[in-house]
Amino acid sequence: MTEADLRRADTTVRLAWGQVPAAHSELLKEIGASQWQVVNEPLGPVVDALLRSGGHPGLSRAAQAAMVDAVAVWIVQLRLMVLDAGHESLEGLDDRSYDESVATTAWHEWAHALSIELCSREDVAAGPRLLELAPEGIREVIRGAGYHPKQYTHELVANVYALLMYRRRRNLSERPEWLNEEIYELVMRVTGWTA
Amino acid sequence: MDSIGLCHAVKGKTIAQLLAVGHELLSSEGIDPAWVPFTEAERAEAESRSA
Repeated sequence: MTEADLRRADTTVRLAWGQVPAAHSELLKEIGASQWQVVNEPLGPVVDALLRSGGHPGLSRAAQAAMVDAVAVWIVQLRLMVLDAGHESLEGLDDRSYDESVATTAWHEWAHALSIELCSREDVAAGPRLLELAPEGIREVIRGAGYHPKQYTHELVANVYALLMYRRRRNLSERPEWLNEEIYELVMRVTGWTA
Repeated sequence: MDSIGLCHAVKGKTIAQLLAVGHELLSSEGIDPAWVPFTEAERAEAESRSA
């Protein structure tokens, strides 16, 4: 990956940020989650170094190794999203597919940041029930990724938000028929989504 | 992969699967699922803002 490729990836994240409705980006700024860094390195060592330089405990080698498949990380302590623009999952994609993947990743992580901050205990506890109400494909993605049930609500918000942003690129912002009303209301409440 | 310490990591594979699901859902609405790329004008503006 060249410097130009890295700049392109950073611009794509900036474009994805520009697509986030003002009310949502204000919420993200309020919780200090409007910063990102685009790198071309495995995220484990990068996150470890960032944490240590910020005065936090670093990651164990096991935790770093567990990030080997990660294309992006939301670091709660630093309020920072870090994206590995050269991750193997992005290799070989044409520009269009690359931008699609990077933008979707950014939207996913920003919504995840909002969800962690703004979901109530009751919302988190409702995760397994809400997951049953989700479209089958989304349910399978979350189950297949091996998330703990306490993460289900956050993953639902993140995945649904990313897909709603995808639709917004087509000027569609109302609740899609495939999305359960309760999940849609949760996403609206947590992210500030409006039709 | 989920929370590692206080970090949340998302796998590239998960994003690819999510996009596949998104394409299916959009198709079910009768919408062309092809990604609407960022235009060159949008890209130029974003680059100028970051300069």
